[in-house]
Amino acid sequence: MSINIEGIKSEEISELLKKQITDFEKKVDVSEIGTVTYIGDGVARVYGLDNCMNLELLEFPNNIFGMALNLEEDSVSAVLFGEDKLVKEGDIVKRTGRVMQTPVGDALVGRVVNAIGQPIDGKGPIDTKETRFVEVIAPGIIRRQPVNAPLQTGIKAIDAMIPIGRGQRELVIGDRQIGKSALLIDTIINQKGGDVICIYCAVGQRRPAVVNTVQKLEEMGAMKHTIVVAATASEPAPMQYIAPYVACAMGEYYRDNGRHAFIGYDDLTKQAHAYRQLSLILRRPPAREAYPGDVFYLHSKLLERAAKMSDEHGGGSLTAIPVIETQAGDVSGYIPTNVISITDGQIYLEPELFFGGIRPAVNAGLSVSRVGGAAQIKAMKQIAGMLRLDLAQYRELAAFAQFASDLDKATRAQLERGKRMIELLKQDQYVPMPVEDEIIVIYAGTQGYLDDQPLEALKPFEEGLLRYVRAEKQDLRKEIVEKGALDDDLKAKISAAIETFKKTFTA
Amino acid sequence: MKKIKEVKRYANALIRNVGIDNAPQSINELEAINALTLKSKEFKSLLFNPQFTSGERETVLKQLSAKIKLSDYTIKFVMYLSELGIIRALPAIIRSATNLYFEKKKKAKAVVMTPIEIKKEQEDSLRSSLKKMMDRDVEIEYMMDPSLLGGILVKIGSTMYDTSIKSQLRLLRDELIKG
Repeated sequence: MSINIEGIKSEEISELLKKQITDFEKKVDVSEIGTVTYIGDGVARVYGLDNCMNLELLEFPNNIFGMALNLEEDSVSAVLFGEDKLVKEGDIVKRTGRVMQTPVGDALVGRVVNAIGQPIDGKGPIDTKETRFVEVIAPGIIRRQPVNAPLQTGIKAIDAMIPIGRGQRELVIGDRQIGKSALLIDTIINQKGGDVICIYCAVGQRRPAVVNTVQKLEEMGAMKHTIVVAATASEPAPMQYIAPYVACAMGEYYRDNGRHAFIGYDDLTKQAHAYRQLSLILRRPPAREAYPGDVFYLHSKLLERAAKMSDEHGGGSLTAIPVIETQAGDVSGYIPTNVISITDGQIYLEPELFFGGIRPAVNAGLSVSRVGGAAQIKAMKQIAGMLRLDLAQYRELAAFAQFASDLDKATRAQLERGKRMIELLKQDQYVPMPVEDEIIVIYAGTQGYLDDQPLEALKPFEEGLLRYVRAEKQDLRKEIVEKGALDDDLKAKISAAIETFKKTFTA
Repeated sequence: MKKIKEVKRYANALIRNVGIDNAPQSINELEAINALTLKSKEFKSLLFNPQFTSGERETVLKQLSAKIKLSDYTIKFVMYLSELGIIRALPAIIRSATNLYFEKKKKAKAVVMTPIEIKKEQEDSLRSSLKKMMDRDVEIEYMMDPSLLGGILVKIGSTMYDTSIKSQLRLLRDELIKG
């Protein structure tokens, strides 16, 4: 990017500057001020500021801004969005009369920004025209409508059994290193070429981890529709606390303009930790596990902002997938139970499955989606019913079959089918699938086309089948997408395609 | 918070006991003692350290009083505070008492900062215009700050009126950056 500067003479520049300086009006700068009496750990206590409002933005020296969180009798406690070493005791703090805002808009897409919307990817300034409030109240009932369209994650197990709708909040919960972030990243990659803008909000992660994620998204060509908001572990707690709200405000821009956005908060446990730290330094009374009393509100006000807007309000949507990290699979902790109760369902990732080679390690029994079913496309709903039934029967029999040596043929068939289904739902990282491919593959499983194949042959079979369909049966894929439902004619066509392929397939 | 309320209570008691007209004097005396604690470590430990007896404190304070003239009440007040171990709140008490005094007298305190010494007639016109603006008597504290370059900066309560060249330059810079 180079700008031709030869055409501009230095006189012209000084002329411009002179004009601006002459236009500059000399006026008395009246401001309300206070003095810093305590500073540390990202929190400042300010004496004075009599008329300061809650959540008001305050201006500290060195161009650092803060937000008033505690209003006391003659002092105000504020969190700092910047380096607290640049502020010292006795410094003068000014009121701004504004609340916090963040830049929003399409100029942000493809960029990596910090918790206050400043670029950190070294690609120059971001030219945004609009700003939005960071803390807003979620849209009311009148402005919403029920979720009715799917957000395809591209992960077979999720799209089939735990579907996520546009405007839904679906929690991803599990231990560390079990594929929670991978799930978000696959979902973002799967939106490539679609109408959904993705926002990835990294809170309290290691900086290299964020770099890797961004690099991977670049590689997969997914940054073209993605904004990354990063508040890494090295940044002060106020930045980690505010980052999800900033990311949400960026998503709301699309929601309120009749467009669709998806936002992944990775992860809210870390945000709760940051908020706990702030609250303790602000001397708010600690409650359970030393979290402040309003830690539920911290998450509920954030997740409520995900919504499907009514048609009169543009019909846009903001889908939220928060991530919560559990300790040793304990979902009954304070923060996990809070967020489970706020969201419209959860995807539970289990270590036993993960180490048993079932990846994504989605526990189909404990995972639910409370509204997503209404949002599945009809074709998927038709085959997912069969899949769920097969899996449920398998789980029931598998426990029982461990004690029995002699099983009748029907039971054995049932078990074999279940094993194949579980094998079929395995999926590699970074290879999300379009919904039509998912339908063909799961159809092959539920209709018994895989029953005579050995388990190890399933993966090559799946790959081969999809390669064959993509190469020779493009019109079939198109038809599935256009029709959206499987009628007898379409079913016959899919069956025929699978059978033709099966003849050529050797494991 | 609880601490603030206590500080207020002591400040109130101080003003009530010495009477509103004597308040400025005893506030000044307390300020002198506070300055001394900052200056001399030994004096500070005398007041702060619970190992000293009240008798020892009294003799020292009496001797001091001979030098800088402290009223009996101030000595008693300081001794009482150090006995209770709340002498560390002295600056807060002074601040609170000053505020109370100004409130009762319907006065306001202004801090005026200028880059050069201010002239007598300027002072008078400043005083009258501040009085008009605040609708109450104004006690002015003058400070010199050459870094202002020019103009004047007035702080009253938590409001700041800034016409200094320094801030004008800052505003101009912001304007130019904004373009």
